[in-house]
Amino acid sequence: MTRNGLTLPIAIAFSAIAFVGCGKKEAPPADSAAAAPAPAPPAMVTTIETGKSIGGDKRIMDTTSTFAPRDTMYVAVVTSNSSGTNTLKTVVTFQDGQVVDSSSQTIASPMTPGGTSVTEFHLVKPSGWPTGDYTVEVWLDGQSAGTRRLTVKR
Amino acid sequence: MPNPPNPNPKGPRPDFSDVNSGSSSASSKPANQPVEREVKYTVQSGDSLSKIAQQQYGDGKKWRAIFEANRDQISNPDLIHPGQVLKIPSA
Repeated sequence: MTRNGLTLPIAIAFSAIAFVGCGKKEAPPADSAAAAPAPAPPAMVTTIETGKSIGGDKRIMDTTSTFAPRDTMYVAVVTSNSSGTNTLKTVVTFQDGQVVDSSSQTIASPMTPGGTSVTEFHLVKPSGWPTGDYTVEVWLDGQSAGTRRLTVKR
Repeated sequence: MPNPPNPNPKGPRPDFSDVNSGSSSASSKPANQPVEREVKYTVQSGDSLSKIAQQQYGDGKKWRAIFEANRDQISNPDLIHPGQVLKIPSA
């Protein structure tokens, strides 16, 4: 009786060890997931500049957030990792939210993978900007990427 | 004639129908062909280095980069003056 009582638990223990060992052997190769290509990094906005003039590289030459009524407002947006299909949009509002302008532009493809692109937006108002506070919100592919506050004063 | 100021935002709304806008995009030169450029910022009344960093980089904590680039004219980062023209290094 005693011998039978000890033999059964030992047999069960060995069976369990053997089962676990078989389970490990049947697991998929560890490197199968690593073989999949890494996803491309998403496009992102790295810099938003505002000013009254831009250079040949489309970057702002003299950054400022204060404008005179007759100034041209420039917004330069630096992006990285764009694919040539990404779109930037700017929405300019006046004080209580009155929409002044909304513009969209497809981002130029970088010269090198992971490189940067610069997209400029400009606004002019021949009759002069009303004095007050303006807000520029920049959107990348429908996601808000940042805001800048501008002031027009005499 | 420029439009008059709008002292009462809840009054008649200004007319922005004559606003003209445009845009363009270009790729930047690769890193081995750096573009020579120098961004400058003229300090306005009420500015601080962190406020300028917030405006330029979207991160006020990057004020030290502006401070280091202008050590020739700023000795105290808490003391800048309206009219000072600061160099703004690339982010």
